[in-house]
Amino acid sequence: MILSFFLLFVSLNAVSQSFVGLKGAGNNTWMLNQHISDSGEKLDYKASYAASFGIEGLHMLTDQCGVALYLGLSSIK
Amino acid sequence: MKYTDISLLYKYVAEGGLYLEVGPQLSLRHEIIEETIDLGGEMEENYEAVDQYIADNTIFAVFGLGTFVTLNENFKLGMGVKFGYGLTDLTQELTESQYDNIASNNNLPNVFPDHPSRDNGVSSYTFLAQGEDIDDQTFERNFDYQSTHQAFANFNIGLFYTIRN
Repeated sequence: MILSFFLLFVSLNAVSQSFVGLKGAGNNTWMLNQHISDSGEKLDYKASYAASFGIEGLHMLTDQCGVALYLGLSSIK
Repeated sequence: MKYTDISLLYKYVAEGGLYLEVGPQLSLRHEIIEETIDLGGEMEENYEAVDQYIADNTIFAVFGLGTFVTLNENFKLGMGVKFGYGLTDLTQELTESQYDNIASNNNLPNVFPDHPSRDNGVSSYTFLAQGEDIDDQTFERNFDYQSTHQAFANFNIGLFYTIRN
């Protein structure tokens, strides 16, 4: 799937400046609900951390503006 | 929860390599939900569930900023931070009978009475969102459903290859 994505991006961007790359990230994730916010000390948010990674293609439409298409895997806890 | 993410972001790259990006992200949930519940002290409870009431996908609004550093003629290094907020509701409102049916299977210790069991396969997100409240005097039950939204912030780094100049 990732290879297909890469080949499609390359074929669509044969005439102008484009980039393709591998990206990784460290995520701080949250589940937000009003009941948790209102429950005070009884129940509280706890931040979770997770990694994500994927492939990104960037196609520059002008010298400064472009569109980036990203496909990746992540976790939210 | 594990997701496959697809995002299409508008990117503005200033001279010098600084960039801003904004746009939507579609996150497709994988089936299994993994939860870790903090029971206090050093105690934690880990389990997996397949929750039919959790949304299969989430649409995020994403905003990011960062910089590109040119390494050589062909490669750039990108570093940045990205923020996302889930616009769609992760949970859904249950009927009272659905709630009772799930709650009756609760086998966990009473340290977290609203928590579902591993057997009924429902996550705590679904339970907490329903907002069950029992009046101390009349024992009348009321539900006040509140939507659940996911959010993330990340530091990201990427290595980019220039396809064509």
